Amino acid sequence: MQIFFFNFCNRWLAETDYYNMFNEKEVVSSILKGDFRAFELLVKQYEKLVFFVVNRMVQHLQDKEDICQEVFIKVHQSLSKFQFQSKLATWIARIAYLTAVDHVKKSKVARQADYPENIDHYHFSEDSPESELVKKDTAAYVNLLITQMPLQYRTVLTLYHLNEFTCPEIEQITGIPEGTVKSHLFRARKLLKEKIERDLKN
Amino acid sequence: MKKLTDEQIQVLLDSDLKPSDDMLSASEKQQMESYQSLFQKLNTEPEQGLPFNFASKVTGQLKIKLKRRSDIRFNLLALLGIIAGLGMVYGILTVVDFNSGNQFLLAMLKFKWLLILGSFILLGTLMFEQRVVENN
Repeated sequence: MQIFFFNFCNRWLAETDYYNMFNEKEVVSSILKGDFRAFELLVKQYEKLVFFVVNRMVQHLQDKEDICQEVFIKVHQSLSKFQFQSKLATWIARIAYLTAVDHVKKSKVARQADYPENIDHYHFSEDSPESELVKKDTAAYVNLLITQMPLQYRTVLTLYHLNEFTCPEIEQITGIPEGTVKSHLFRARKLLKEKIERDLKN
Repeated sequence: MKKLTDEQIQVLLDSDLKPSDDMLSASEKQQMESYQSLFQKLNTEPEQGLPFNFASKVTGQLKIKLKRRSDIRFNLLALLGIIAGLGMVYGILTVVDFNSGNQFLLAMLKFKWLLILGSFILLGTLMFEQRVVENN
């Protein structure tokens, strides 16, 4: 039991040191040579990033995990084509975004709200059954409102605030022009702020 | 001073620039606070996440996928090997004795279904062995 604990600590320390010194080029090179440990470290480094992207775009929890797995399998398959013309995080986020969009389009429960005819005219509905969450004024309430928004608004909010990508990086990831990204960001945040103020008043 | 618009307030918060309270009217201050509160919530990570062992699960899945691909390649090579082997025997026999070569070809054509069945049995055995090794 002591030996097991000692080995576990050594392994944890070694991995923590490696994690802290995460070097994109070295890790990619190791993975391409067939090092599965390097791949596992890459997954640990970017699993949150991928989950944040997928989480806001996809509804069911089990689907989210499956899609995240699919993303990393695709990352491994395409890694030989990655030429370091962008950050590895941006490249992986693009794969996550495209995979999630494919899933949403193929999903039988794709909603009309995901792709409104005129996104600039999108508004929250006045029905607000989430009164308990409103009273608590929690992040959960904001997340609930975000799930009701069009796909593009959800995407830019997530990539900007949770993943901390810049607007040019979001353009690289999603293909949405930078000006449109900024416009979506401003409008989505304004809609959220106004909706929260109205609900709190009511 | 002109009243700050929503967009201007958002730009200020995005750049981490917040004017001092003296420079803001009461409504601007309230707007600023609303947006600050919203930004804080937007930056909050979701409660649910991936399981703790997600990385090792994905790596395991990848290993299985790569092994299966390698097994399929091996099995295809085995099949090609059988076909190439038979072709070589026919070729050698034809060179040594044209009639023997023809007889060999006719025998193969006569027993083609047996040959095909035999090949499938061999491939099936290979696949079964690979699955047993995988499960162990």
